[in-house]
Amino acid sequence: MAIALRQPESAGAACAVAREEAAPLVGGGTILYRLVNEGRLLPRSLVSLHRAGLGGIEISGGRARIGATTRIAELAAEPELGFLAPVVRLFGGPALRNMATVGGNLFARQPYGDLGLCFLALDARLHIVGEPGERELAIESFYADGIASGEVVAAVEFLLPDPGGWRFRKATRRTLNAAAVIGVAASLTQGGGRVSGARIALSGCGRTPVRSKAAEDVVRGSVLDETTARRAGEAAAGEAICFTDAIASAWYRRRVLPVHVRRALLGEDGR
Amino acid sequence: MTTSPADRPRMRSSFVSLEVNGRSRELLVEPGTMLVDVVRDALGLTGTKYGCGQGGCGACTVLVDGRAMLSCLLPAELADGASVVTIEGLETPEGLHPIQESFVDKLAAQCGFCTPGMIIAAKALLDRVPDPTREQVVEAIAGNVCRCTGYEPIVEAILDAAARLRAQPSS
Repeated sequence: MAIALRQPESAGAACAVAREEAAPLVGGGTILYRLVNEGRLLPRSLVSLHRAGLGGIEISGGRARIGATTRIAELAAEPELGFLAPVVRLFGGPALRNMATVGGNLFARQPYGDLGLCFLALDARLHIVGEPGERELAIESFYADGIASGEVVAAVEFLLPDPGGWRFRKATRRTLNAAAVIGVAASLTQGGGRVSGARIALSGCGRTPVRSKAAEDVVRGSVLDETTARRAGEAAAGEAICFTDAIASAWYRRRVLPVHVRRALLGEDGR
Repeated sequence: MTTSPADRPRMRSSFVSLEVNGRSRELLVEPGTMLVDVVRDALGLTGTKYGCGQGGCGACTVLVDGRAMLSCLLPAELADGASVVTIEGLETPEGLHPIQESFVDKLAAQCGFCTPGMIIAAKALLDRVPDPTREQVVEAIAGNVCRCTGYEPIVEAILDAAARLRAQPSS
């Protein structure tokens, strides 16, 4: 069935067309076009952000700004985003990574959306373009409330994690190209042998990636050793609301969550 | 959001210019037509397969401006001006491409449905990494599903192809 593909040349124009035509916005298309191919989404038109000028990575002063239509594969080519290399490696296959976009990943349904999980741990801010103009939005607000119809995520901005302070772990049923049973991302700051700041985010535990404030409370102020990591894992499992899908049952996710939180915090290798 | 066909505005087809396997093509494309359909139906290049339509199997993988992409998820209009290489573009007048020869010699195809996508994924790797490790080969085909071979002959074929290509005099 014919679907008109609009290709506006700015974020503002994309918002306007999306509003006028009540048309979904599309980045790389790896989420949305599959719905079209399956006949689950049959809009009159789609608004592609392909030519809206939202690509590119800027890094300066320890801060990264990633344009929404930056492809996942482009992240791997940026040395200062090397901490995200394990995330990229486990994200689909190479062809998918050449198409899927950073902004689009924020809209991936759980247990996909590994980058969104990382952005939550990094306390990212989203640049949103919409009818009244531009605004910034904390990623937690984005996951809690979403954005209005016709608004566009233009970029994601965050401070690079402290050297040695980044943790990522993704438990999957096969080694590559698999959705998460449980995902853990954490950004830690340490001083005087103790953890001074911690943001710990989980996937597989809700409709969106979620922070585990209970685990953060355990870690903050403590020496990051086996005991602390174990207690943090138990605290995370205590407040997690895991779900059942084709990948894993809620029961299984809850059982393995403390193990993966512990291993993530201790920086252990392996899945 | 769904609409009945009667609600739909008239939509014009548009011309899309592609270079497919080295040959310039100008095609009239209905809005929203995926590249896989253009390649298979309009150009008759049926080596590229339509598998899942979800980006999950890799059977439709083609090179777009040198990068592996899933042609079932790429509207042809977005590929306007691009260079596209399908499995048919690998063969030369002299014969099969070394990757194809390796797939034959290593018995890396059984039913053959995944083979064009696998070979294109392998080409994308070997164009970039002429001497890949086994792990790099496995990662390069991580998005391509094969339900026959168990992957081992495919990995062996790609490593063998890498050696053949390295042994070729550079042109």
